[in-house]
Amino acid sequence: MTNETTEKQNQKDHALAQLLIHAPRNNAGGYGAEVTLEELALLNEGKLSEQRREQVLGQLDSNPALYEIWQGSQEMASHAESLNLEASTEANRTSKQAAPSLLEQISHFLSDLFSWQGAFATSFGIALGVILMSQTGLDSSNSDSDFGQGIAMQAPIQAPQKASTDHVGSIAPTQEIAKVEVLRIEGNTVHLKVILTTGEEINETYVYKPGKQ
Amino acid sequence: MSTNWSALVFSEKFMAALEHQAAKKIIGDIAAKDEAVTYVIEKLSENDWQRCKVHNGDSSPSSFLYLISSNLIVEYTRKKFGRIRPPEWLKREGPFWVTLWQEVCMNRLLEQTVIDRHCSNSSGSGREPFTVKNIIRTIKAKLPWCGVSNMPESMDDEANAEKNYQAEGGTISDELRRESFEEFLQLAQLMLADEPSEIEQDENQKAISGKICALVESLDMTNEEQLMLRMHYVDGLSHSAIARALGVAKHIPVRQNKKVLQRLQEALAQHNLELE
Repeated sequence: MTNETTEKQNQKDHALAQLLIHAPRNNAGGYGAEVTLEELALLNEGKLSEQRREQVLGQLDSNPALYEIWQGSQEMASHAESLNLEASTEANRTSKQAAPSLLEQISHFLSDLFSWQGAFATSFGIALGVILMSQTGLDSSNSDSDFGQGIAMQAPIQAPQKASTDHVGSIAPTQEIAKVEVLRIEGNTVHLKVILTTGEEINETYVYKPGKQ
Repeated sequence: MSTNWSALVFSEKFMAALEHQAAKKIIGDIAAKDEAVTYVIEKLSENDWQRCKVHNGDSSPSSFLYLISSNLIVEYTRKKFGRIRPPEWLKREGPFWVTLWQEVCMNRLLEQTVIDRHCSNSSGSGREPFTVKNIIRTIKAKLPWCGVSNMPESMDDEANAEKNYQAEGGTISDELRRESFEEFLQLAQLMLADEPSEIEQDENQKAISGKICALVESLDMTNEEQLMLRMHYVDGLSHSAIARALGVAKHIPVRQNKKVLQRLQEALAQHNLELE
């Protein structure tokens, strides 16, 4: 019975909303200058002024094509964010798993060193472990960096690609890259020209594999 | 500081997000989806990342990149599949309704499959099953041939097609809204009907439509209120997804939507107007 009432109410809300959504706007002031993609990005980051924000929201409401693009970008950001969270959870789990083994090693070491003081060594090991674990926890909680401004912009080009692509060519990891040009793209394969700081030019091929961690 | 666009584009997260979005836009055609991904990367990297370099640095490079990419995916689908011709009223409801129409009426997918597709956690869209179900119900009520193999391509005649609101980027004018309000009033009545059937179009109905239209117009809603309604009731987004998208507190969208609907309900009651 309650479900039926809720469903009826929901249908009524939907019907009323239809009218509000499709009624004339009575917007004499208009929506200001046509919104740019840069402004939409600013809207997503909450950086638009109050007045401009209201105008941009009006344009999004009245222009289905613009709304579609904006929604698409929201979904992409949300998907990337969920990957960030997954990676952060995984990093947390790994660091938590690693901590006891370190604790074990230190306990063993102390136990060997002070074999006649076994009890002392164990308690010292546990105390040290607590400190180490809390330290690791702090580090991993900071590891969730913004991918736009952190990893992707500052890391060398090998770093983000290693995780998602099969590297067919070869560059020594210590060499510095000055410039990368995309030569062509064939399906999931990207052909790049990599120019090193030494002036040397290398042709590289990357095969993108979706979903590969 | 200049942005390393190639590193950003070829990062694991961006590529995964791009794949995900292309798969959402292109249903059941893996080759076309891959082609869309390639198209976006080619366009982004064209002329030494010129499209990306337009970015003036006020917003973060990743936010900007998502927007250009989303734009390019839409561009690709239009080029590849052309403009599909759903009825005009359906296009006015926005791209999500067109997608549902395509899946349920054209591709004849099962209703539950479509709901699962759009409301699962992995879809990342934050849509509510009830809203999606309600939209499908409305489409089916309005288009009885939906899902039938020999259905017409479009219910619109040529004259109506001329009133196209320019799906490629036009803004819907108030004049057009007034002209077609009656159609949406019928749609609202269909939503309330237990057994959907065609609503009669008579002079009385026209007069009521005119009154309600003027009443709704006089409510003087803000653009934010209108967009929040659209996001929830037309696009099927959950209130938390709306709050995230608009950068407001979680409780704001649900509260605002309720308040606005209440205002309309009170105004209708004051004028002795009923939807049913």
